[in-house]
Amino acid sequence: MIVKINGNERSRYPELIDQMHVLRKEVFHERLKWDVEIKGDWEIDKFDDYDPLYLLSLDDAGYVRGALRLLPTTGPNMLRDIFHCLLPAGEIIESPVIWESSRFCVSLRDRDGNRSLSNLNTATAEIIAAMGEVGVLAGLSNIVTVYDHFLRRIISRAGCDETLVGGPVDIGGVKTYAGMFKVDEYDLEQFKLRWGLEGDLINHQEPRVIGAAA
Amino acid sequence: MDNSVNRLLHHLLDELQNISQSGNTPPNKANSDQYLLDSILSCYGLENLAYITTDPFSLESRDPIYKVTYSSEWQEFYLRTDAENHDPAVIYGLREIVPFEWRNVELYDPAQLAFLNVASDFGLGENGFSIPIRDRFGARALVSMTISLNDQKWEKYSRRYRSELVNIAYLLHERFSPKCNPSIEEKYIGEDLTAREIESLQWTALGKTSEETAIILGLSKRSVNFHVNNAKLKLDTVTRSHAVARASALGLILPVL
Repeated sequence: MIVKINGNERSRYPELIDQMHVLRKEVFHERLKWDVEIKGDWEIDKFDDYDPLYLLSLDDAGYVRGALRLLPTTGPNMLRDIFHCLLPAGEIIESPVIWESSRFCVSLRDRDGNRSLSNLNTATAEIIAAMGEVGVLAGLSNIVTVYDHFLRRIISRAGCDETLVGGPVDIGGVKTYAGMFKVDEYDLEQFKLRWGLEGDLINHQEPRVIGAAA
Repeated sequence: MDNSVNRLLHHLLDELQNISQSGNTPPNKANSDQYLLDSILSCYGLENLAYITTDPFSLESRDPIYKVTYSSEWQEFYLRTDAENHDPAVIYGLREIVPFEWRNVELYDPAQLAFLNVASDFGLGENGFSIPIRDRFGARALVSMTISLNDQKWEKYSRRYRSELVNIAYLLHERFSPKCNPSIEEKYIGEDLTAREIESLQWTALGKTSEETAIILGLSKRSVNFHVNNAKLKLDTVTRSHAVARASALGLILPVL
């Protein structure tokens, strides 16, 4: 199941937000050994302060098993503010219809601590599909992402077409790339069919209360 | 960017340019901004269009900037009551990044509910759509629109035009936000210069004295001084060379090489 959390909603889901930051520490700091900022049990950086949109994949028991962060490329974002060396000199990606995804991570274990490839695959597919849905909702043409070869392999194995727009560049001992994904409703439907994902993933939450103006 | 949007916007901007040059309409930034909003309304069949930006990180510019097509009664109410503090679309929208429909915003604050009751008395508030904006300076803005369509038609409309409206929202921000557009005031300085004033300034720029310019233009020296002084005032400058430099920078006179 996917839960979408924007800047307004962050304080309403403290447990999920906590689990996400814990998972991010486990994945980026412990497993991938990226040079990331650690605060206690959390991995958290300044881009978490800019009210990003989080997409969280929950397992059947309601625990976070995967996460992704989205930011518009018109505002503060990682590719422009940190990883600009990935793009050819002088080039920037800044468009109302291109967003950036970052901190994509999936747990390799299920809740019992057993390694679970199916967990990895389901969560990956679910998050990618949810990202596509957000893209359609936001009128986007593309989503750009910074990743290493490991994440790149996971994403391409899920059957997601990317165009390499930067890299590989060695950043802190990690071969890093920038890839661009097209937002396309038809491709999204095909992707969901292939992974057996049904219905809207991000709008399943019960309709919210309408204001008193009605 | 979508080409059709580009064409539309360029057409509108060209038209604005023509209006300010024709001299028929008093060239005035407020008017041309309103004209731009009205043109977008009619192009897209919208009822209302509203732009608001606040810069939460800067103490000096805490007052939000508005550009709206709402009725003057509503605008007056909104400004008088600092309504942006209770407007759920604004409060929610400045922390959201996905475009959203107003009816999907959850409300619990009584002040926000009260605001919506007033909005509804003005015939507003139920069906609207907002596009959140983030820019490279860390500023945030919101472009909101209302349109009278039933749910089914709105669904179709929103699919068809979503990307275009997102692009337009950002173009409005580039135009209205003082940070994106630091020369926002200067751009309109000097647009009210008369042909005589520009001519007199052009000869001044070429090193001619008032007497020489007077002979060239067939005017009295006094008239030339009068025109140049007016130009100085209109350009918000203190000396002749200052006026020449600014007029040249603004493209009002030909630069002297």
